[in-house]
Amino acid sequence: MENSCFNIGRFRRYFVHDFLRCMKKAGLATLLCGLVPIFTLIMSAWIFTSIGLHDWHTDLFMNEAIAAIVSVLYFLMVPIACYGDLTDRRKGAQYLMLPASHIEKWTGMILNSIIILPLVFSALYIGTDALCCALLPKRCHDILISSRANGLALFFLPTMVSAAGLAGALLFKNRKGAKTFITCAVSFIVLCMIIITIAKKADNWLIIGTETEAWYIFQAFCTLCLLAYTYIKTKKIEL
Amino acid sequence: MEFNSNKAIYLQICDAICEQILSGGLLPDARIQSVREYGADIGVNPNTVMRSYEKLTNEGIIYNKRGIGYFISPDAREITLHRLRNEFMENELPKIVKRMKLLGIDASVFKEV
Amino acid sequence: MISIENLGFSYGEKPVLKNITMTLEEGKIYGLLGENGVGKTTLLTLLCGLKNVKTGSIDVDGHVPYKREPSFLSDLYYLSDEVPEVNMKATDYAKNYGKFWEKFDITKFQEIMGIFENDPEQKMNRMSFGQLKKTYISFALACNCKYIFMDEPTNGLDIPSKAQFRKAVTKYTGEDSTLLISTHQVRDLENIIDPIIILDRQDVLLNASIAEISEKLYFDYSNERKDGALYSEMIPGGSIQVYPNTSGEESKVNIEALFNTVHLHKELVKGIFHK
Repeated sequence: MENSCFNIGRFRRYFVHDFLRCMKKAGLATLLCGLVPIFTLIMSAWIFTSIGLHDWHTDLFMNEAIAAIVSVLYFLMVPIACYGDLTDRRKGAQYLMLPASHIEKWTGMILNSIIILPLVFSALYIGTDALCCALLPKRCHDILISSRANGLALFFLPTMVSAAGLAGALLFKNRKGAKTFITCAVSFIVLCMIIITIAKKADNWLIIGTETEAWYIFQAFCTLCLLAYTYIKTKKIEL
Repeated sequence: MEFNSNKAIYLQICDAICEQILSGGLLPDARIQSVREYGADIGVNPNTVMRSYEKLTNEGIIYNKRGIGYFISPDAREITLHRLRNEFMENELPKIVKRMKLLGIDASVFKEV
Repeated sequence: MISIENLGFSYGEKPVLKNITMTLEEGKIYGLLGENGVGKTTLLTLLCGLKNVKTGSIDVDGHVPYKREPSFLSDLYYLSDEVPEVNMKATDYAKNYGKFWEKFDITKFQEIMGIFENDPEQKMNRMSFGQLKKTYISFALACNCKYIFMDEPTNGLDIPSKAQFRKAVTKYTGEDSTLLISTHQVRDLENIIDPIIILDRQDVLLNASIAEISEKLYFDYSNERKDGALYSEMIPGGSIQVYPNTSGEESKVNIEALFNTVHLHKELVKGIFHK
């Protein structure tokens, strides 16, 4: 099958082109989101000194909450920003007609929106946070050190969220951001309800923690399903 | 090139080339543009120019050297003259005569020309 | 070569193309004519593989377009009627995207931009619609692909640009390239398209070369009215009548009159041109 052919030279050419295109679309957003710890620091400084609290430091819980919110939104939206145009009659045609095999285009898509850009963002975020703490140790808590999140969770969850974002980018025709977010939120709530129901009915209480293997397996399964969907959708898309 | 006449385009191209031969713009054994070059120059599909060149070749006005191009025949001038004279006698003259009859002008007007 | 067999396509319940069968030969500049809404754009997008056929089949040099195989894509350039704006200089766009078509020639691109009097150093999102269109047309021709499909390329071009377009197409279409240009403004493509395809929803009304058309139909520009005219129209400076060609004399094919004749006498014309 010719579309499953992976030509290294052609892929390299295509990937560089696509990466630069994504950077143009989402580069600034990545930078701004990655620098959020600085903004948080400035905001905290401003708020606390305004109310007269000069011996302040940032609240760990608040930092973690902000990190979680910004991350999830970033992971979800970046694929939409990069590849949302694919369903557009005009811009999508340009993408589809570019001479490269389907597998090369899909691989590029996954690499850019699910791996590379999220990694850049994460590195920027963590790095900025670490920098703030290094410069103003009395004022901050280092997220990396204080976080209760396990390393594996930091891999599975972002990947799944980005995969969901990409699937949403391809599934919906308009208002992709909102629709994807709502679909994910609703799915998450439904999932929680199901788990709670199962847990109540089971003889043994399942340990519901974010570090259980079952949760990782479930996330991996979801991610694979979503990726499979993106593969099939880009292959079969009609404009 | 303006294609004002209602003659088939390929024939108009033939006429244009013949005019150039008669006026001395194209000399015997001179190379003329290729089908594509000429088509590009006047904004006409190469198929049409091809038909013109074929017709001119059949009439002996131009000849083709394979791999090199098209050239004006040595006796192109005589052939062209003969061709255009025939055309004048068969097409243009009858029209003029008809018009003269319509307007009531008689042949003596030619003495004044 | 492009072979289309019993092609059918519909948007949901609404049929757009039905039983379209035709062959497109290599190395020609085809004009695809048809009334608005008849399915010209749909046909082009089907030929590119942007859509899948509902019934029938399309074969382009042994490829099924919908599969969008890279060897198929690299031989093809599709110029849509709505061209996307890009935040790049035209010349950067050309260098960037030209890499994907191995026969792309940047010098040719700049030459054609020159014919269009278009500045390649200008940013594409600062260009007018006409200038943007001309940039893409220059790019399309500079790709040197085997197949170039253009959907209403002269839409949005001013009159001098249309003449420049004709010049660019005749000068820069390679011998091995097959162009398929769709339009509803037939005058824009006068003298450069040969053969002519006239499309109707249910059928291909005509697919013939100019030579064949002038063999089978006679276009009379005199003011004489004769019997048996298939079509008659007053035009500036006189009139035009279309007759079945019995004398064998060749006349200049007037594409607009041809278009109207074909639509008025669909079955008759099909019979005349039936091979």
